Amino acid sequence: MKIQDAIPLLVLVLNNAARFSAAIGAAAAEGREELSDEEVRRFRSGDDLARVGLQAEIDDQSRP
Amino acid sequence: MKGSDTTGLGIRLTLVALATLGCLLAGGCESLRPFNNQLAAGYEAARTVREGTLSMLRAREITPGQAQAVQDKTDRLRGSLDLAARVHEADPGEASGVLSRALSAIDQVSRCTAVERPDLAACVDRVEVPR
Repeated sequence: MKIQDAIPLLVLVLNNAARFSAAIGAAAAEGREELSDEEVRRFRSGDDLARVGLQAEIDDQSRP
Repeated sequence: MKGSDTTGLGIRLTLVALATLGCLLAGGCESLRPFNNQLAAGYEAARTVREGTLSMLRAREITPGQAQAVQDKTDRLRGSLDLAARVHEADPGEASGVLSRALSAIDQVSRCTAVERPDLAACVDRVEVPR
């Protein structure tokens, strides 16, 4: 892997970890140690969007 | 910097990223003990795998076929996360087991994308999907 490709990947992972940590922190600020079902659904929706984006690029690059 | 140096650095950076993800996935972080926190971490990890795969696909580091293999396996692991969520109320023990195995499997897929590039599809195929 080239450095110019690895850095965006690193930033991506750290950003996603930061988003998760922020949600945990916000819940803790409200006196909760567990995320609500609604908050979990938001993380699930984030994966839905990522799935759509990846599939679109796969389909695009698979065209002859 | 020579090509081999940048390749090595790139791999090290990726491993650092995976270590961060691994902390989330392994449940080593205290804040991850509650079920919903682990479940959210699983969905976030699945998203990270997909977005990382998209990044590598756009950089032409992997082929569309390899990316599809990652996508399909992540879909199945995402199904395991959904299964754990569904059965949690009726059987918390079973749900925790499925969730734990799904988190571990997502971690394996992410490692495949980082270090098994030439055999990515085969590596991903070997990852078992919890039921």
